[in-house]
Amino acid sequence: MESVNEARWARLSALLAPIHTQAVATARRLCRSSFEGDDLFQDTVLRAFEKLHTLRDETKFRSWFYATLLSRHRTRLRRSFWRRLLPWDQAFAGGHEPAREDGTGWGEALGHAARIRRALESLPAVQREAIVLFELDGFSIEEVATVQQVSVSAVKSRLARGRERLRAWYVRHGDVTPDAVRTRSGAPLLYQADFAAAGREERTR
Amino acid sequence: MTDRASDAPEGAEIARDLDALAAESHHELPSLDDSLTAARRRRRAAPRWKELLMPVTTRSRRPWLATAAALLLVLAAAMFPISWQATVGHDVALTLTGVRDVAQASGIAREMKSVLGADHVAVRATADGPATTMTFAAYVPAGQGVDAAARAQALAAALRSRGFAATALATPRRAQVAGPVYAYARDLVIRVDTDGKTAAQIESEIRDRLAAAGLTNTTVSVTDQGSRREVRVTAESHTPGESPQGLKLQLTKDGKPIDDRQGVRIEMRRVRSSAGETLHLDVTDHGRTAAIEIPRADTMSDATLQSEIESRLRAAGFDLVVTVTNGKVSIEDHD
Repeated sequence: MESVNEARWARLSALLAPIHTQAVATARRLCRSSFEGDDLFQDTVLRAFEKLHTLRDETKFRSWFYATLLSRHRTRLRRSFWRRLLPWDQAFAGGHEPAREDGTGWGEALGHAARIRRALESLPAVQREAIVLFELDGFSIEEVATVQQVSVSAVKSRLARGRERLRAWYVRHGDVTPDAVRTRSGAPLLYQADFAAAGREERTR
Repeated sequence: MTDRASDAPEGAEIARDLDALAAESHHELPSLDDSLTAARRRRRAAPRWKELLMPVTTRSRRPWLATAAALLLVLAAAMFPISWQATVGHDVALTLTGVRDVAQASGIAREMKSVLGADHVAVRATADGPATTMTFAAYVPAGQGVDAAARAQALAAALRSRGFAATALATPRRAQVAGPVYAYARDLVIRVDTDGKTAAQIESEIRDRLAAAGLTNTTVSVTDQGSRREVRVTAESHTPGESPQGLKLQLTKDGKPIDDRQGVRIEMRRVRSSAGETLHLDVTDHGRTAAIEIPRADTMSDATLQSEIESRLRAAGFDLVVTVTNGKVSIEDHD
């Protein structure tokens, strides 16, 4: 039994190696802190180990693993107690702030990262995942659709709604003026073509 | 990050923050070995019972066994005997003041016995100057299925129409009872039939039924707004162990429960403990449900609490309007 498990760990390790860095970063971006993201990733690795026998085609490991990651992400969101474990603003408690290679603090960059984390947290899980995968991880819309196990048009809709909510969050929290939004009513937020396309879909719902 | 429209003020801010998050999330990444070691350690730390149950609970492997085991567990749990406080009946007191002819007492007692379906009625007469004050007391067991409060009020009204100064009071009698879990669950459900009733009638009935269940400090409001009917019930208990927690109100139509899929149902409970006040929200919106718990809600400002509730509801996939005013939470749908 032990040798079977060892073989399975070895197989998982080999499959995970090419995508490990990106997947950990994705997990961190989905969560309220890097610490929580690492925890989500470990949870996903464990789940992947237990379900590895269901993976038939190893060439599809990346999307299979990401689908598992998103599944664990949503499961943890449903368990409200997870949300209490680590408030976002305690992710880097005093004295533990990481330093850049040149020795300078991360102060400002961390502030920006913290702000977008809070904004992303206000989004429904599916929209947050779509935004993170598409905007940050370089997934195509088709790839996002595969790992989210929905249609391409659903992903477009999620992206459009997610961007709209992000923008609303920034306005609500005084980071940009409402006038700036009004003058750009109906205009693109981040990606002109995608937003316009998805916006049409939303209107026709 | 290509094609980002950084000329829009909000777009530029979001783009910059996304860049910062991208950089931050790559900082001090664990190695593959670290991740695998942590996952293996986590697996070893998993409770042994979980592993043992895994073959049973894994529906994909043994669905019939999992279903049978779950059914057995539910049955065993339902039959487990427990004890709880329940309303076992009502003490009804009918008071007639200024009675001139005491001989009428036996007729009124018989009438009361018949109206309430009580086994017996006790009569007490006290001198009140030239007249007499008469009190008729009866006990109506809950198992009789009689709305004692409503019938007592109706009898008092009938007596007043015949010239008596009559008042009626029905007090729920609470007692510690014991039985299986399923009986406890049944006892916690208050069913109110809405067939052909106006909002005011339903409101009055809900209030009476809550009082019958021992909750007297309640606020009930039923309002019709066009084709939609809004039912708001607030119940408070300040005595430990007598929390309204768990009490369910079920409205029925044509003898069947009104389906939650037809509207929004929000159950809100504020439970105070030594750790502070926790806000519990059970939301059902057109068939979908979510349970949300917000600890230390009493320490939050209105804006923070509103933002927290909105955030949790959105995370659960609900698009509802939340307002918090002076700590009072209101959640409504967009209609």
